[in-house]
Amino acid sequence: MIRRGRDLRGDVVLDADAVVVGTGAGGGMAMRELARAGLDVVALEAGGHHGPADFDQREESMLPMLFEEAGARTTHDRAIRVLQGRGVGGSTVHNTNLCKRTPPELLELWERRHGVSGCGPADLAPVFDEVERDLSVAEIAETLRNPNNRVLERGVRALGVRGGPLRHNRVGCRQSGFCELGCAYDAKQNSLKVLVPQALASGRATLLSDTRADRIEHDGDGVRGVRATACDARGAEVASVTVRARVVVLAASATGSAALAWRSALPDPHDRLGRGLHLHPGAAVAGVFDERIDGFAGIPQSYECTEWLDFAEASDRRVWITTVFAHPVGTAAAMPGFGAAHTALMRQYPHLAVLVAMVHDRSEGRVEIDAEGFPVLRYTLGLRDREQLATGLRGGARLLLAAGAREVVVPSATPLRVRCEADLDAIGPWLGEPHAMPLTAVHPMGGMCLGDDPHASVVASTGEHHQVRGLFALDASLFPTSIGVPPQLSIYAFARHLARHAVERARAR
Amino acid sequence: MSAVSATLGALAGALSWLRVHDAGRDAALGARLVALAPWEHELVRHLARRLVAPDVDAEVPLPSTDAVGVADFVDRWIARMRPSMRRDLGRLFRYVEHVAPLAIGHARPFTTLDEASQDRALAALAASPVGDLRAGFEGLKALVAMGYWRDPRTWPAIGYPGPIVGPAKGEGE
Repeated sequence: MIRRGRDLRGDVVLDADAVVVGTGAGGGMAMRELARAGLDVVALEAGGHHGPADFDQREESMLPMLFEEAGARTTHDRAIRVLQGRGVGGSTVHNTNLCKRTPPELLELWERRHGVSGCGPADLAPVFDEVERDLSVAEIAETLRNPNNRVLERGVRALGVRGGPLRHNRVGCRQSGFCELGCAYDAKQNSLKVLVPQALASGRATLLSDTRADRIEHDGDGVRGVRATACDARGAEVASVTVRARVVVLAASATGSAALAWRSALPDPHDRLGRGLHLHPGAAVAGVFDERIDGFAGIPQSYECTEWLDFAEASDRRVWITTVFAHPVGTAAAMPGFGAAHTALMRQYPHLAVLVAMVHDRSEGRVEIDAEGFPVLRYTLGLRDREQLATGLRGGARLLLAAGAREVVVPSATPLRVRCEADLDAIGPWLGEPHAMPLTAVHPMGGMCLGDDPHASVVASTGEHHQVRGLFALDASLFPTSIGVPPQLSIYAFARHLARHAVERARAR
Repeated sequence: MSAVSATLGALAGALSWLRVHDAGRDAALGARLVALAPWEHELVRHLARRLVAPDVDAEVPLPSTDAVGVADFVDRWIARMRPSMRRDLGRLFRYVEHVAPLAIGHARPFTTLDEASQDRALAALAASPVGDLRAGFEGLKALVAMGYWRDPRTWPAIGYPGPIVGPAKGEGE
């Protein structure tokens, strides 16, 4: 059953075996696994419950509906825009359906360096298999590659660098190109469409949308539940909600889960809470072609270039390149300059092919909260990562030129135009400095990192909090490092893998 | 208080004594605005004209920013921002109106400058050595970009066919 918090009349107290905070990849999976195990589950979702009929493919209506802070969330210094989902399904509603497994090298590194146990490549492989079956993950056929992705493929072949097709969780795709604004055709096989309905179908789950978790109730030893506030469409408080439960699962994202932990004054004897924040910061370069590309149409992000990415521990190849494209508002905000010059660039819109360079970052930030309890993302891109970004931007520009672009626009504050190899020298680590060019991150990770050593992590390898029994984190906040690939599949898999410990805890108490 | 708030507050706070709106002139406008003060609405109109600067003489012309109603949209948009962001934005508006012109040698408010001077003031803001101010410029640009390029009347000029489905009757409308 789904109840909208905005429809509540009067305060509510619910009893359950477990309460799940957040309904994205981690929360949807946790909710389903707990319900399937025969436990009574209440899920709390701060955003609304929306479906395909609500997704109108317009930026001005979808940004407030589907994104935290209407897409305006940033790092503390506003240098990096951080896009995070809001609403039932979380970021799985607006993402582009990319599905890549956690690199095995990183799973081994987490065991070797971060004290993680039971989450190695052999442990996770069958979980990934199962999740990929659940979500109908498949490679995007070459015949479905849109012109923007064909440009990348052409560049990869021309330069003789490493690249290939990508896998997505979509079925019945109409190739409209509006994926990042929610799928009006219900083709995304995500938390909203697959996992939440399965949890509800079990008859054991209740979902309260428009209900913001304010505080985890605990007594320093174990959890007692969650206190929350139901809000109307404008965010005004409608009712208080108390869920009494033996298990609390945090799945409100790397920023949301840590922020809730902060608001709840959880014990943190080793000062670990919020640490280990990684973002996968990225920046785009746009190639101008003579022919129409119409990058806004067709399936986005179906091809990748991995020439400058590997996962060896000491690797200095930490940048991933794929396609990216925005609708007019997003493009206008990202294009450099203003006035007539900016308008002239906008008139090139259908002739642009855009690539993004995403850094598998080693820079570590921290999630904190402000006086109002909102997340504050303290994060600064270090020099090594700025160098990686520059490598990626140069690589992207090379790929576009090799694919036939007549020029490449680097949207720095003072725009750079790249027309030949020699022009690439202007691209340097300075572009990663705050406000030198638009940087965007869509993959926050860390904040409640996994590991068996309480001095170095917040939750154990089971996902359970080191100090507070019955409290689990089952979302991207677990990851001890950046993972270098889009995280949704990893979040689904880790939540699936570790949810059994939450089930055991709920049954045991 | 964020670094942005601190910087903008320090720069603009000293100017808080300035009379920034005319109650008589602005009464009617003020009655229909949700979040902006009338003088802020006027500032956003000026900013939109310079930041977007549609080329109305082109073969497929773009509508003016006033015709699209950018400032009215921005008013409704920022009404939904959380209070701390609205406070920061208010400081930024005050800075642009009263302090940014000083950087190009003008002591008059931004909204009274001619177009060329407004462009120079905005260019100075975009290239400011203060990171928070560059971020502020990008924020203003994103706001007016949203207000302008969301409008279907702007799409033919850039070859964008627009959404395939009709508008939903959702809360985002």
